Amino acid sequence: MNIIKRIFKHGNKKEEEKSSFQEKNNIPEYFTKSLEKNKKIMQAVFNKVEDVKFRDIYLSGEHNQQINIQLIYVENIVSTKVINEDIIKQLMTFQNDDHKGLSKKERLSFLANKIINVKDYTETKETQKAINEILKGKTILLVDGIDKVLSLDTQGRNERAVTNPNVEITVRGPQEAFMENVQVNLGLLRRRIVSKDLKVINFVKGKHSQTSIIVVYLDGVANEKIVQEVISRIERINVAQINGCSQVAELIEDNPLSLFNTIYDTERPDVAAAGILEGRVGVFTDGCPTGLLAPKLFVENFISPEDYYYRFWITFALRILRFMAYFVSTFLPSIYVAVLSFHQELIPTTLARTIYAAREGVPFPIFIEMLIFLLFFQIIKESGATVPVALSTSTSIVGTLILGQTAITAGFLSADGVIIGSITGIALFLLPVIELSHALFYLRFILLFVSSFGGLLGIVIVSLLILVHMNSLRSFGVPYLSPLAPFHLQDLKDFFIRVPYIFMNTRPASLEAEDQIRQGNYPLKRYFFKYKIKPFANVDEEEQNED
Amino acid sequence: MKTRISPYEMIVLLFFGVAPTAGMFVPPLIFKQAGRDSWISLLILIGFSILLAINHSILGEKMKRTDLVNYTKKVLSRPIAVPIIVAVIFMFVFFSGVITRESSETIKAVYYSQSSLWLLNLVMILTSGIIAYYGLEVMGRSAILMIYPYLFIFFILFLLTINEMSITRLQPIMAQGLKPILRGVIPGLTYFSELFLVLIIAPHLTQRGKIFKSTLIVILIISVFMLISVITPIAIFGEEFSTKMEFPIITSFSYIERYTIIERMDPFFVFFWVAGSIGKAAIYIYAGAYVTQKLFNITSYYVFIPFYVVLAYLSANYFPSIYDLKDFLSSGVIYFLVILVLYPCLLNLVSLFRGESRS
Repeated sequence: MNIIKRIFKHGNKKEEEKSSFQEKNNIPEYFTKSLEKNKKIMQAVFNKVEDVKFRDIYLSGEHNQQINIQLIYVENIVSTKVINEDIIKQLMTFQNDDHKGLSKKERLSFLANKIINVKDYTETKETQKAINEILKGKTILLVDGIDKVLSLDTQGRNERAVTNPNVEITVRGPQEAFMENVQVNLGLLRRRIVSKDLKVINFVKGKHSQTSIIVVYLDGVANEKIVQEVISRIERINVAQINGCSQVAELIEDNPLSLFNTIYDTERPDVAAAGILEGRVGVFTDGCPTGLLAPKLFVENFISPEDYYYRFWITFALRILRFMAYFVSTFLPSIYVAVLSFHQELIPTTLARTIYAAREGVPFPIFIEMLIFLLFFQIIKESGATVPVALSTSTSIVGTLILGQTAITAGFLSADGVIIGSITGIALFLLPVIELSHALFYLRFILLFVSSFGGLLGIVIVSLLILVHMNSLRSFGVPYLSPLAPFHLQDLKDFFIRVPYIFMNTRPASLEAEDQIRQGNYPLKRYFFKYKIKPFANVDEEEQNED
Repeated sequence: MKTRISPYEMIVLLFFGVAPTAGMFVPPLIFKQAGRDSWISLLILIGFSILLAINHSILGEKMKRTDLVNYTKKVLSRPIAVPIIVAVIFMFVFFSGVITRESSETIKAVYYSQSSLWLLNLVMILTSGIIAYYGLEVMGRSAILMIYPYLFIFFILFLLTINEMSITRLQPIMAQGLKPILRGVIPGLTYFSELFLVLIIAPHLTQRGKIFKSTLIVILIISVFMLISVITPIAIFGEEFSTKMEFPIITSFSYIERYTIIERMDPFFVFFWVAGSIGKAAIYIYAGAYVTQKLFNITSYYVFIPFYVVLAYLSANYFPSIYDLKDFLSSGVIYFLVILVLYPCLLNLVSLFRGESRS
C-alpha cells in the first residue's frame, strides 16, 4: 500500500511543486484586469531582483482617458535597441486615434500588430508563464483593464561571433564552429540542410536554468524509433539546472557509467549536418558550443572530419594509422611489461641483451618505471592543456626534453622504457575524438596493472572483458560495435577506408535509416573506358539544326 | 527484449563452442590410437558431425521458437523430460569446469609453471561467468570479433610451418589396417558431439531456415581447423614423436624460426586460444543457466550464474591431475554420448511419430 502511495505521490510531484511555489509566494495563477494589482504581483515576484526593470508608459485613450501600460524586462538579456526604438519610441510617439473605438480586448492585439515592431509576440494570462518569459529575455507588456499580457521577443544577449573550431580542426574543411546560442547553431545547420523535412523540436529543461534543448532530425530519413527514444529520454530529464551538453549527454545516453561515450560530440556544423543526413538525431543545448549526435558507433572514434575533404586513398592510410595508434596507445605499455616480466622467451637474444643492458642500474621494476613514465607524460599533457598558450611550449620543453633526458642520464628511467612510453603518448594524439583518448587513459592503466601480475594472460582476460563490455553497449538501440558486430558488409565502405563518393549510394545500414538510398547510381564505365567529350563546335551546329 | 541471433553469429558461436578445446586436445588423443592415420579418423568424425548436423537441424526447425526444455516436456512428457534436462544442466556445468581445467593446465604447463592452478582456474571461471552474464547476443557479437584474429593467427602460423612439413611422414596410409583408425574416432566423439549447442541457439535464430546451412558451414571451418591441427604435427615431427606430445600444435608452432624480431611465435596463438576457451566455458555456463531458467520457468537466467560459476570451479578443481581428467573423459564417453547424441536423436524420433512438422 505504501508503495502505491509513493508511486501516486511521485506522479503528482509536478502539481505539488507548482502549487507550493505559488502558495509560498502568494502569487495568483492568472493576471487580473487591474494594472495596479498586476504590477504589485510582478513587483512581489521580482522583489530584490534589481536587474528587472519596470517601465511605465501612458497613452491617451478614448474621451481623453489615460491608458496605463507597463513594460517589464531583465536589463542585461534584452536588446536595448529593440526596447527603446521598437517598443517605447513607437508607443510614445503614437498619436493616432484609430484605437479609440476599440474594445479593451482588441486593444492588446492592436498594440502588438500595428504599433510595436518586434518580430514575434505571444499573449498569455498565466503569471508563471509571464515570469519565465521575462527571465528568458522577453519583455512583458501589461495594459490596464486587460487580464492578458503581451510577451514581446526582445532577446538580445551579448554574444561572440561564429569562430573557428578549436578541437576538430581541419585544413581543407569549413572553418566555422557552433557557438553558445542554440538558434545560431540551428541557423548553421539550416544553411547546410535546406529541407522542409528538417524537423526541430524544442524542450525547456532545468527548473531554475530553463535551458532550451533542441532536437533536430530529418523526417523520412531518421529511424522513427530512434527519434522517439531520443525525445522520450529528453522528456524524462528532471533537473534543477542544465550545465551543458555533457550533462544532457549523460542524462540521455544508454550507459553513462561506461568508459565509452555512446553519443557523438561535435563542434562542427558540417559534421552535425552530415550525421543528420545519414539518419542521426541532433541534440543542441543552449549555452553549449557542442552539438550531440545519436546514435554513435565505436568506429566513429577513428573518423576525422578531414577524411571527407581529402582524396579517399590518403584517408585509407590515415585511418589504418589511427587504428594502429589505438592499439599501440592501449596495449603497448602493458605488453612491454608483460613480455619483460613474464615472457622473456619471446624476445630474440640480441634484443634482450640490449634491453637488459639499458635497464642496468635502474632502481625500479619495469612496471613501476612504466607507471611513473605514463603518469609523468599525463601530467605534462594536462599541464600543456591548462597553462596559457605562451607557457605551453616551455612546459613541453622542460617536461619532455630536459626532464626526460635527465631521468635517463641519472639512471632513473631506462631508455627503452622512455621510448615505449613516448610512442604510447604520441600515438594517442593520432586519435581524432578526444573522448576516446579519455577512455583509453583508464584502460591503459588497468592493462598495465594486470600485466604486471598476470602477464599476457592478464592482458587477454581484461581485453576479453573490455570486448564483451563494448559489445553489450548500445547507442539508442544500435549496437555500439556495429558494423563489425553485428556485421554489416555494406557499412565497411566508410570504416577502414572511405570509398570514393561515387560508391556511397546508401546510408549506413547500422543506423536503420527509413530511407536507405543516399544518392543515385553513377555509371562506372566513365572511370574505366575513355570518355569522349563532344566538341563545342558540334554542339553549336546541332543547336542550329534544331532551330 | 528477446534474444535474437543471426546465422552468422550462430556460426561463430558454434565454432567457439567446439573448436578451441577440440583443436588442442583431440589430436594427441587420436594420435595415440591411429598414429599417422589420424587424419582418416578425423574424416570419419567429420562425417559423424554432419549426421549430427542433419538431426539437430531437423529438430531445431521442429522446435520453432520453443526452447529445448519445453519442447522435451511437450514431446517426451514432463516426468521423462525433467531428469534428462537435469542431466543436461549437470553436463553443461561440468563441461565448463573441464574446459577451464584443460586451458589452465595448458597455460600452466607452457608459460605459468610458478602459478597456482586453483588461481588460474578461478580467474578463468570468473571471466567466463561475467561473459555469460551478458547473454547470448553479446557473446555472439564478441565471437564475431574474436574469430578473425583467432583464425588469422592460426593460418599464418600454419603457413609458416609448411616449409618444415614433409608429406612422406604421413605415409604409408592405413599400414595398421582400419582398427586403429576406428579406435581413434572414439575420443573425438565427445568433442564433435558438442554441436548439441545448436539446439540451445536455434530457437533464437532470426532465420530458422538457415540452421542446417549454418551448421554445415561451421563443420567445414572446424574440419579445416582440425585437419591442420592433426596433420601439422605428424608432417613435421613424424608419428613417433607426435604420439608422445601433450600439446602437439603448440609444439609445432614453437618451432617456427622465420623472423628475428620475435623469438617464438606460438604464444600469439596460445593466448588467443585461451581467450577462445574462456569464451567456450562462458557459452556452457550460459547454456546451463538458460536451461535451468526454462526448467523452472523463471524470467531471468542471471540468478543461476553465480551458482554455476561456483559449481564449475569445483568441477575444474575436482581432478587431482590432468591425467585423471583425461581418464574420466575417456571412460565417460558413453554418458556424454547418451546426452549429446542419443537424447536429441530420440527426441527427433518421438516427435516424428507424434507428427510434429518442420513447417
